[in-house]
Amino acid sequence: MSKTIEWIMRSWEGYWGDGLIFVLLLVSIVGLLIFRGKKRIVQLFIGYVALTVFLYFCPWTAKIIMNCIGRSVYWRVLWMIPLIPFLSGAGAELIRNHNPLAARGIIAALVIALVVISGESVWQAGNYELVDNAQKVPEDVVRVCDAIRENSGEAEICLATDDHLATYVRIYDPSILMPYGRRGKGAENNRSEDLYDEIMSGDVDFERVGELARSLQCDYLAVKIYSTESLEEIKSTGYSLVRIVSQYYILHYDSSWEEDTEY
Amino acid sequence: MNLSIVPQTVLALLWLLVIPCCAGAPFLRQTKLCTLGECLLAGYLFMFSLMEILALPLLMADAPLHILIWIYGALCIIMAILGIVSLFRNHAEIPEQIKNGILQASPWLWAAIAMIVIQVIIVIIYAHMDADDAFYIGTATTDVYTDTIFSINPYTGLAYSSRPSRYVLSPFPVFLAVISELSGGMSPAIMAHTVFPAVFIPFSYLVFHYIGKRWFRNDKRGQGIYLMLCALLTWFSGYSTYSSGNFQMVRIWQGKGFLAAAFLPLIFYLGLSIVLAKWNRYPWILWGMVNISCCLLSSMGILLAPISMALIVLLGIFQFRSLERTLKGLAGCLPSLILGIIYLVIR
Repeated sequence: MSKTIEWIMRSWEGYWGDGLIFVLLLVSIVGLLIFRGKKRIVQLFIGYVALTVFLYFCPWTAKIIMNCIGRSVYWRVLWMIPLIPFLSGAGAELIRNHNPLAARGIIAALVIALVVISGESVWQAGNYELVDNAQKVPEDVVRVCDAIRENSGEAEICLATDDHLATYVRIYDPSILMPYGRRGKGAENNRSEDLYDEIMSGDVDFERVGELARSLQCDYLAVKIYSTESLEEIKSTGYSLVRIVSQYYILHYDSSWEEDTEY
Repeated sequence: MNLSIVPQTVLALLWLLVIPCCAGAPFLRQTKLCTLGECLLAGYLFMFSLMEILALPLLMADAPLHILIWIYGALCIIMAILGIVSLFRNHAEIPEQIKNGILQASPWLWAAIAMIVIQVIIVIIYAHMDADDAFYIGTATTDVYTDTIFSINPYTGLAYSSRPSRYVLSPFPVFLAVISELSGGMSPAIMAHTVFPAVFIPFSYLVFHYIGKRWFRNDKRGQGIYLMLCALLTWFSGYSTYSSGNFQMVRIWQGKGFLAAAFLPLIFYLGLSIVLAKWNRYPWILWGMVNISCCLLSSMGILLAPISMALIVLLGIFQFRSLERTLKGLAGCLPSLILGIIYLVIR
């Protein structure tokens, strides 16, 4: 039970973040109860918010919900609070009835300032960037996939790469197969898992990467290589360099290499 | 059939705006002074419910995606045609309503609309990278490429050894795949990252607008201030990556984002208008359809929608003490219950 309560509190703090929106919520509830407590919709809103918060903090229901959706996303229960409609209603009640127009304007300006100070612009929070492609995936994904396609033609091919590219490759080009996806998910055997772990390790053994990729019949590798020794290591496993695109070395498995090495 | 981007965009707007707007009208044929916005809300409830009802059995039967596209497209068009007839018969006052609405709109409402337009333009031009797209959009692009429904692992492109039971019951990526194909073969990535936000963000504000209309009845100034503050609060929701406002602005193309931004508030709005209203503005079927729609959007919806609805029913018990109303309210939660049982069986 204590672990459940700990997660409840952690999720609560994480949800409200660094802003003062929660303070705004409390002030709105108190203000509406005092000045608009007789209005039916205000009573329903506050009643609903109260029930939701009670449900959120109740450890018995929390445990059940956590078992269903997972502990790490328990904060999503708080999505049930109609926060934006409720705060907007409270603010509009404060602004609308003031006369003359100048007074209304001043109150509105104060409310707007309060919202701006209490929150943070979604556009300043590092949420957006400009890209050149219509699919809106990272540009290096586009360049790597296009380079591979230029080399391979229309054939279905298998690519092994790092987590960054693996997350977006199949969004851009679903004809490219992979031994694993984002965070190694979808890996069907130990070799795929080992390949992901090796590529993502701090000290990559590129010979091992090449051997694992070859055993998984990966036609292409797209990895970042920082030394000529590492490049030679991976070349020794049958992969030859096609191009370097956006710091990624694109390597193609040369099937004739296996025949050559047999002799 | 792949068209160029302009006809694809026109088709996308047809499927995401015109068809739901028309398809929602038959459900509101007895709603007095119903608006096009309400038709759009009802239309999305219909289209999402229909997708959930069709996709699950076809998925279980390993049917190809194109079968789902044909059936879904045909049923939506039929409903839209019925809706056009219904609009002409029952709501001929709508054009006059729109004209009066524009003339009577307060400056606050225009300020709100300006803010919303700015938000939509920024979302269309700029990109937000989210790693969860690897699964959600990856599923849609994979289903389109392979003409399958949730049969191929989006991470690898190989067949699933066993389908992810939690996610197949909420096949919103399949909706993305179907709408993309119906829009002349638009890339699901473009549909999700550009078209969906351009439609879904205003949709969310439409829900807020109708809540505001209930709060400030016959008060245009109050309604305008309300919507302006909704736009401002959403704009400044970056204080937490978990807030519904942040999800609305940066991840609304994902089912859980749309659930948080629009459909959980929509449950509250329908609760106010049906369960907690002395005279229902809307038919009870919409109450059930919002539950099904939330189930389509996300596995979160399967759980959060009935909880939210049950809390509203509880408020209704305090208010009306009516057994019939309580039973009808709880019946709306049945789809979630059924899907919950299915999940326990198949996991």
